[in-house]
Amino acid sequence: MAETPNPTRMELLKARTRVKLARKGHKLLKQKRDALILEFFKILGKAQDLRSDLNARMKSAYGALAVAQSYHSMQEIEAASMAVKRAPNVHVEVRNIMGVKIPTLEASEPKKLLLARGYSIVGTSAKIDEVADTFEHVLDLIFKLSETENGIRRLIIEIEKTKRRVNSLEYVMIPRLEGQAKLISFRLEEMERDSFVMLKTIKRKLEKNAEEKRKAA
Amino acid sequence: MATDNKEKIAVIADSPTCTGFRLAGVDHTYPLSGSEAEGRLSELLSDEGFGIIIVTERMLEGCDWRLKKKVEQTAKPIVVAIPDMGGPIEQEESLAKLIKRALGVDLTKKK
Repeated sequence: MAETPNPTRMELLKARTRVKLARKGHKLLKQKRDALILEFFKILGKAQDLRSDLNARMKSAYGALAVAQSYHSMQEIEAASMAVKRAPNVHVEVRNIMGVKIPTLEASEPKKLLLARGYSIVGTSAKIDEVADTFEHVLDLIFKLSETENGIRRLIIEIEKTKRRVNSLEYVMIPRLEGQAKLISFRLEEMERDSFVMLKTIKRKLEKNAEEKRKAA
Repeated sequence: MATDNKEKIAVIADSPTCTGFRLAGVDHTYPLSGSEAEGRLSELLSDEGFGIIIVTERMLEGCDWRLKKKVEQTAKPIVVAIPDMGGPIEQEESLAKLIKRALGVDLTKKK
């Protein structure tokens, strides 16, 4: 027991309200945890394996870039890249789930047709097309990944925090407060019995005194 | 292409990576490194016009811890770390580990 409160009725009432509050908080936090876990599972399905997929895709993209570099000079590739236009824009919205901000993303396919890319297909070789292709793939994956991975990480951290709070309330705070309330009520009962016995004793003594007086009279 | 998609994409990485993303059509590429990249990243983080910021893992790793924390806390723009030319680096706390710690079950293994 952390602290022994004064055994008064006031303290008892206080302790009881605290227990009630803790119970309410516990219930709310439990609901929050469940909601978070639900959301988590929703995202998890989408997030699976995206990261390893991205890593593999990045590797092939860098490979394609290296090959292109050996065919052309870096300057040539850069020149071609300068000509590429129409960046795929995205739309990010932030959803708030139980205080956790989760981004959702709307994006159009970054894939482009060969001719729509913007650089001259006469002056460049297929190697550069390959690089563009793989990087478009990567970009597409990044779109998918950004939505899920970020949110999932944040969700998990929040779930952990909430879980810890729920458990600490359930196993530490509530039993402790209940113990306090119990202790106070025991002490109060004990005091009541005490005073009852005392009153009885006084009454007996008074009666005895009165009888003795009567006898003397 | 939809016109209502308004947020831009930015790439802060080494120059070959930037070139690659340029080929994919990303307009805002910043081939920077070190403190310059950090400055740019924090600048972009507070810019409403950007939806996604792509950075290399190695760059993010070398960042100031305050900036990293900021990156973790902002929901928009989304910061995505990608492996650079040297390949992916081991993250100290992988997603699978986090899931296992939070839920007690490793969900990523079974599927």
